[in-house]
Amino acid sequence: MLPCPSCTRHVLGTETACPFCASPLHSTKVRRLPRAAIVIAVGSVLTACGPAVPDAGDSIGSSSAASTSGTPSPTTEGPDATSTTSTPGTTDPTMAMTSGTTLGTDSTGGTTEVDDTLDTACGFYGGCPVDEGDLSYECDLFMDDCPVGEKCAPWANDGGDIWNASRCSPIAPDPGSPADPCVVEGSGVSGIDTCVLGSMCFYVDPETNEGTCVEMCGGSEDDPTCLEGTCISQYDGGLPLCFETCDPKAPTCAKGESCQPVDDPALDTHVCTPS
Amino acid sequence: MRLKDARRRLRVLQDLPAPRDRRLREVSRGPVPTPLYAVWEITLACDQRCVHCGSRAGKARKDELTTAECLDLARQLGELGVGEVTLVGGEAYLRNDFVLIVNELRAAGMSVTMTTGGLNLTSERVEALRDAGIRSVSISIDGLEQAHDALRGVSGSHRRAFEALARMRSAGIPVAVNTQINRRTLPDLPRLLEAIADAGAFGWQLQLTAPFGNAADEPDLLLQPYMMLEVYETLRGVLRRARALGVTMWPGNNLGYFGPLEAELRVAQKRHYKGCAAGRLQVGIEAHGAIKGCPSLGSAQNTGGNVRDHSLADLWARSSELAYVRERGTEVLWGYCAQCYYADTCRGGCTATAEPLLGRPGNNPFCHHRALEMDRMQQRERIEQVAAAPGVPFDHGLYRIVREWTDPKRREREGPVSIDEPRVSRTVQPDGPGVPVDDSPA
Repeated sequence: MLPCPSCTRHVLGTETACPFCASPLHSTKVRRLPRAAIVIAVGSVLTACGPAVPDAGDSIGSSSAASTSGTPSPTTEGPDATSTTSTPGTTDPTMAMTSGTTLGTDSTGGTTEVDDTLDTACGFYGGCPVDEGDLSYECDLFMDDCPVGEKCAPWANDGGDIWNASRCSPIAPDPGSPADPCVVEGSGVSGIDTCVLGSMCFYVDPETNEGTCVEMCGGSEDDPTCLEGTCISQYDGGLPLCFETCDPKAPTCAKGESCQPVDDPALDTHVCTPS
Repeated sequence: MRLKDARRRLRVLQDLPAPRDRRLREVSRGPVPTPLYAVWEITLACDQRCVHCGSRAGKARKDELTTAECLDLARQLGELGVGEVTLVGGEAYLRNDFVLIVNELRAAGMSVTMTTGGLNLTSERVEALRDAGIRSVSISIDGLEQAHDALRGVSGSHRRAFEALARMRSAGIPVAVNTQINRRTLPDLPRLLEAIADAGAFGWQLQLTAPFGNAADEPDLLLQPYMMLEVYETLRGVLRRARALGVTMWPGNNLGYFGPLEAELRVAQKRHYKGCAAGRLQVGIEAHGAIKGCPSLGSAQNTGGNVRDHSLADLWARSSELAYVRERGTEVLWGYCAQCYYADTCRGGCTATAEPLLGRPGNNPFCHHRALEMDRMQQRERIEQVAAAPGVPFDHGLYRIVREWTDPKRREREGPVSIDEPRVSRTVQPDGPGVPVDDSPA
């Protein structure tokens, strides 16, 4: 589920237009495509406001209830649009603006939809831990729910050097793919870099602000995916990146890499790191 | 056991492992998930007489777990993989061994929080909590002084709640506030926010008063479903003001769902409601050892068994009562919820709100999206009580939902658009959406 940029109502990721305000939507499906396709898809996103990657297996046609049951309407729509939608004494299937039309159709392969069942909400009675309250996620790092032309990037929102928040950052012209060299703006925790959607600039040299693009985890927080390597979610979810893990006692890293502990001292994990 | 004796038995915090929390990553994704969060009523004894108390707290249950049983259960919670435990009551601090329980939970690797009315949260108790390793405390404050004291049934309880808040802050314990939204408290929310921000609360959890326990006897206290529009208009202003004041808003499980404020309201919860967590990610424990999927659920159909008879792990993994929410799909939905755009994700919202209202989960009129859609159709929904509650903890009566025209003249002229009568309990008909009570076999 992603909030519509126009009306902020949540809509299924398969929608091409918001069923509540009719605004065109872009898909987030690029996250699970092969790396080469990411670059192509980004190009599509940057040049069009429609769906970034049309998917033959998608159910957009059947799920766009608004387009099949009448003109999509804002929730404050006037009486004319509603006067025929309900009959006294019956349960009218059209009473919900988009009722009953998309259920079960959002699990098509390749979407970033669903599988977000982990609700870390405070419980019915719970006192919420203070550190949760400090988090500031402007966007979803896994789902990349930023406007077209932007990407969801980890950053430090407190002036520190630890990634503790997310922000929508502009995607640079001609961005680098994972493993490509990159440059950050300001510092390595600014969240602004020259990497493609779905990756971020890491291993940044503080002197030159140059680093290497690293793939960010896709999928969802509790079921992360990587095109290559394993998702290592550092700093309590603030930095989900894909790495090749390794055993420091028997490293199997490629030439030019060494087996090093991850940045987050709370994790006892080693990954192959550029030497 | 005296409190000072309990304090002598506390382990030194520095010797305890770093606590997990409910955001723990290593969770099972199979058919039996790892519960991230437990809410544990350690006693039903209470020093207040809240007119909306779901557990009808007051006197301790006659067979509450002993200290030794509680400490064993704390270890079982740790072994099960729970990340955080919230102690509730009644009033948890009325058991002097509550600090031992806190300490044991910490020793088993979990974070521990507590929800309290704070009426008699003395300095000694606050210091004991701190020494035991409490992570944060949430104080229940229901509106401004007049509303709060009336709802809590104790004159001066509002003042004393704020005094407890200050006492905990002085002791270095982070403090949040939780508030029930009902007809008495709704107008107070903006001013209450200012008060708790001034007092130094870091967070504010809001939840609707649900129709179970004592609240089942107070139909005039409950919001009407059509009032969700007013609720969210209030919340719109409150949310923005809370951000400016640095107070993090936390909607409870029954506050939603999927209206225009959803992402803003749940910004720190991955931005939208994910469905009821009872028995999926959360476990509830009653003071005599009964295990439920959620602390607010009542009745036999929600109680998986007792830790005096089975291990917690066995109850969690094997009891069908705890597995209900875990396994249910959209086939249990009925009424408007069965046709909702968000049905597959929301699944009728909070079980502990829908089931006590209508006798069966799967249809929940306390929903912003639903109220907006009704309003768009120039309609609204209200509830009418049709049966009273019997008067035991977590019990409920029955209500019907009347869908009608918003315009009073049309409403009078044409009558209801439709009526959802309450449905039979899951003890009578375990599966599916059930049938209306009047249609059930005799």
